[in-house]
Amino acid sequence: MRIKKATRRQLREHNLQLILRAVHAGIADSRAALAQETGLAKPTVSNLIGELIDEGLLVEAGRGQSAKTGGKRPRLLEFVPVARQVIGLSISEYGLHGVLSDLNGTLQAEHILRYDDPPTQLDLNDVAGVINGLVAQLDAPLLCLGIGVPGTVEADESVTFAPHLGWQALPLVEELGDTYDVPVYIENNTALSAVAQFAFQASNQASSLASLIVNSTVEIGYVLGDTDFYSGRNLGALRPDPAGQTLDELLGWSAIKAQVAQARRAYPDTLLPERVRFLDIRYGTAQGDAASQAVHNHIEDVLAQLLAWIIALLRPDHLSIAGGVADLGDYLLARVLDRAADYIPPQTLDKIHFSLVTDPHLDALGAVAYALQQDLGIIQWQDKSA
Amino acid sequence: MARQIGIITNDQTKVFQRSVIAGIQIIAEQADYELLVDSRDAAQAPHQQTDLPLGRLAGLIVIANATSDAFLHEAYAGGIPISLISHRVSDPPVPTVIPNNAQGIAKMVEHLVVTCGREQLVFINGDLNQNDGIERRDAFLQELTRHNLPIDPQRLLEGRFIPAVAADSLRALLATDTSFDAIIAADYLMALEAIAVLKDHGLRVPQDVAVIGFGDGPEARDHGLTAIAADVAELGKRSARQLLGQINGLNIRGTTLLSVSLEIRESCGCSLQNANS
Repeated sequence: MRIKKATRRQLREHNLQLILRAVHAGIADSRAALAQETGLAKPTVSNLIGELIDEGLLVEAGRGQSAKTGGKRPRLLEFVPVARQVIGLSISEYGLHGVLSDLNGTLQAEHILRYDDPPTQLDLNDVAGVINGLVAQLDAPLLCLGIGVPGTVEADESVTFAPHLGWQALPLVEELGDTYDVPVYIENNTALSAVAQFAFQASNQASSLASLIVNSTVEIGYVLGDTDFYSGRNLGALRPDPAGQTLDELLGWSAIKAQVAQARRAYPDTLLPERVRFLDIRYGTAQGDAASQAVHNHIEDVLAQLLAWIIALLRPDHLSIAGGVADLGDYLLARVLDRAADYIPPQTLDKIHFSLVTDPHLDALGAVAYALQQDLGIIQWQDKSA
Repeated sequence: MARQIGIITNDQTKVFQRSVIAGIQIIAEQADYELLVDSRDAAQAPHQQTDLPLGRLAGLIVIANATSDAFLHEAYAGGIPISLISHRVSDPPVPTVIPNNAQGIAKMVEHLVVTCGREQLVFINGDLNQNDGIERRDAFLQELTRHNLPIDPQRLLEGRFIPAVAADSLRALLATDTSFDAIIAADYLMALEAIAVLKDHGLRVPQDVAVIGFGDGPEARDHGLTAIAADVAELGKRSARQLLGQINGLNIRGTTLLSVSLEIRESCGCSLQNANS
């Protein structure tokens, strides 16, 4: 591995991010305080602040109080969240979900394109079409694009192995960067969902978060705050029992539909419709429908085991269940935790914060958070307990 | 000659249409465009040919189902930039702007069931030939399921976004069923009419029946109606921007969704409960 010295440009970008992050987080709001906080020389700080004010990202906002030792009252600095906007886009086999956000991650506009049936080959014109839907709504200059994809993102930021989308080694960053003339940041959707939860939803005491996402397949996202580490992986091919079925065959949506079909045959008077949704399983379970309860029990069983492994391996502070399965609601979570106590000591479970995640914006907001972190360095998923 | 944008709408004097057009006007004027409005009678609207000079227009905005899908397909395929408001056309999907109906209905049901403790819900439908009417009904059925509440077809009333129709439907229900404890109306004008009918029937709002409407306006505020606030003028602005984007060369696919919020007032009873507690 070759270790390279940072260029002057890289150093300047890094220092700009330091200043911006300190003001955004409320750690320091004057030139003197920023110099002290960052360790940079005062002339350097002033120079950097001048550039950020010229860019409109900071403004001077009155005078603060003099130091106890006296002296001039410092000019205070404020971050300007509306100075730029960011587009975050989540791409999946179900469609494209885009959001327009200010620099605080506050939603300004939303644009979607849903697929009735997953396409065998994703049309890049659809991707541009949704981004354009948000470009048309811009109130401020576009800073950057964040894109979440269901496939593997290589180090060179090409997307490989997104089988549902028919993508192989697609240079998405290059294509979109050329079209929109802004930086484009791309990452796996599962990782971004975890990032969004950690940045915008997790409790202030959480320094790590794991998210089990169950839709057509089973995935896990993980964020370790104090090291900037995050990851998203597909677990669907794993076999809990070497001689048995894969997780997708146990818990993926096709498997759940098969379970429902089996339950409908066993209980002909069931409330479960032929075209079932998770909400129908929830409703049937609440009404005491035997078929619904059978399917619900199966889901609880598999999820409890999965949660036990995740807790044993990762020991997250916060563990969430997301995806379509979250539509089963709080009763699912309560039952799963009851069962997980068969595998994990209660005192371990008590130290973890659990939640269900049903926010439809999560992947797209994760793309925004990721883009803001990469471009401006202002979204923190560092250790929140610090 | 001034650049022009055409608008095709049902009755432009109605509250919804007026507010939408006002929003469109703001953005159009900023971009130096004039508006030409083709306002037609709702009953005849989808079948009526437009008198707008399509060949001279920079683009077209169509509000709800004011014209036929066949016309939209033809015009869009012919290269006219089009933005739809509260309407969807697929194959090809014409760009559209709609309020987030599912979000609004979810907030209403959640509020009534979880916060206000009501479980016997009645729903007054909008126009089931319009996108907003269909989406709000579908979302209501979904939210009942989410909250483990049964779906009673007798409590899904015809409204068609017409207050008088909503009133007749509610009177018919009251003749056989007074055990419900909340009404959600697909728009706020129908909700206000529902309150009047309930009071005529000797029922107290909100003590006996909580009422919530979709959409907000001065009348809703004046009558203390809890409502889903969907900024209708903003709908018009977003649509105008979507159209201008296309006029300026952007190929747009899909739907811009307008977020909504719940404004809690007296008609749901929760502010009263909070005061009493």
